[in-house]
Amino acid sequence: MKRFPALFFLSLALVFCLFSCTRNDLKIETYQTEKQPVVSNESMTQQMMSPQGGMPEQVSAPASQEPSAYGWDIPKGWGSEPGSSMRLVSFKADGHTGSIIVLEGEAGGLVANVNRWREQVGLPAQDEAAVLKAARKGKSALGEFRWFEIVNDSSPGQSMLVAVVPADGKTLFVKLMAPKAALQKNQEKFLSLCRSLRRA
Amino acid sequence: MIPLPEKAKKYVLFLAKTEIFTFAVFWLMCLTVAGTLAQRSMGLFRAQELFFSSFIYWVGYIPLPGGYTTMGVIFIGLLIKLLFDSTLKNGKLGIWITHVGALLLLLGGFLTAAFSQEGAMVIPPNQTVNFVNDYHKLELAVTDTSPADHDQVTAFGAGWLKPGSVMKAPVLPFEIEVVRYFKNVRFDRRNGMIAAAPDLRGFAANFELRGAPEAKEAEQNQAGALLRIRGAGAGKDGTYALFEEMPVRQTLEANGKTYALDLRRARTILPFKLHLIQFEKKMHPGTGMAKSYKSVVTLQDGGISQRALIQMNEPLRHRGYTFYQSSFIEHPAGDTTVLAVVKNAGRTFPYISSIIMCIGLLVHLMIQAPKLIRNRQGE
Repeated sequence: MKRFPALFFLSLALVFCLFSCTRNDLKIETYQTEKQPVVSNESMTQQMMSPQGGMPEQVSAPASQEPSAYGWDIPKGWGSEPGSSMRLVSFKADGHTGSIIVLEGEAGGLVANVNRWREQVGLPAQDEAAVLKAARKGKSALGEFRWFEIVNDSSPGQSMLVAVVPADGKTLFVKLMAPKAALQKNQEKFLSLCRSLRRA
Repeated sequence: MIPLPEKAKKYVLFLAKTEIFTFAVFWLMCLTVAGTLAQRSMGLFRAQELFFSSFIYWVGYIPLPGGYTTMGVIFIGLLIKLLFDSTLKNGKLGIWITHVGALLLLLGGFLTAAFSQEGAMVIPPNQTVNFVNDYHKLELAVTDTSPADHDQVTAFGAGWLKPGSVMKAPVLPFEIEVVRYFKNVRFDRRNGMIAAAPDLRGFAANFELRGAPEAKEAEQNQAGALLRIRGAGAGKDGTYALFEEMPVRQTLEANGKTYALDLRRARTILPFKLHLIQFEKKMHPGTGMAKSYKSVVTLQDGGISQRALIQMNEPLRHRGYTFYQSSFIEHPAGDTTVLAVVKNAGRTFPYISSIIMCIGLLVHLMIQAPKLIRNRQGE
């Protein structure tokens, strides 16, 4: 009984330690699960060269109930599907696919992105002055944006309309890939979509 | 009352002093007010962690008792008072019962804080899932995808995710060092004109991870990490970038096996599975707002398969886990159901302790009522 105080406080310390241990996250667990599909880094590298500003084309997480920070109006006659956290929306213009992607920062910069898109349609890279000269400007509730019509006349089957919309330290990319004739037909609707961009 | 040896008495009864108890309760009220106000600016989870789920709450360099310490002091004070310094004489039975109820309430809080699990189970249509994703805790999962019939997962808890940590496991032929860790991450495409470092692999070769300001609500953060792999072999060793909800998994090969790396919400593997048969939702007419939604699932536990319906206010309870219909994810291929999953050993304590405290107060009233009536008649 002489040691009662020491034992009592020792017990309290032990409870304290046990409690701390339950919140310890330095655990290592090993277990078996059912197989999940794996997409390798190599295929990802291929996908990263997609014109969406870097994110893979084929892999799209289902839309979440979380509201997007941005809003837009899909033009009449176009279809749309919800996107993932970075792909805000996918849309269909006369059967041709487009999307609105949001990435942090400048996502590599305007010139690098434009040259990457040019490379995809078989056009040579341009310097900054030429890129800025080719840019046309529009305005949405998010501010001024630049848009590009990237067409290789010797191969007009894969052309694209792209708008680069800086907002809140991020960059929104609105992109529609289609043959040149389809792009021209849908150009006004594409621009109305870009102009409708706003904060939700 | 349990008798105490004289020598121990002064130490033990010190903890049961009324002054300490009163100050602790007052301090708990202060913490409650401060935490409630702070959640507006810092978000619910961070305020909860800072003020209530902490032993020490730092104001600059000044340590103040956090929620755990304060409630611990109250619990110990009450317990000692009850065991060593209370009596059932003089009509104190009601008070004694009420104290037992209060102690049980605090004990339930302790069990909840120490052992409860909360998370979400996301089940796509016609899929079977046997794990729960934690709402807040993360883990680094290294998955050996080589076996034909299963994946072999090695998961490192969130405690490892800090710069300088080196993770090893007997089943892994390589070690992983955390080079950088970001609670919230942004990434920029590497400019093609600047050559990336030669040891950057996969996503890291094309994108640069950077820290981003933390979002107010912790769930909105997207954690990321730069990891250095050693021991996987030439061309595979190097620096890999990971972030939460990465659309494509990062992989590497070592010893003829393929390993996938995932930074994800910590998973708790359940001893049973849920299979989503059907998800139904009803919307308010003319709006995009859900009126009600429900999931029809099959609970598969061992050889037993049982159909169950989960809908708002009608959770499924099994083996201590409770599954609530929480949300859903729309997809053209079929809606995915999101169930909130809770396992809480202290779940029944608030009910039991409230009943005991009510009984205690009632007993006290019944014991004291005749005295009060007599006094009134005397006046």
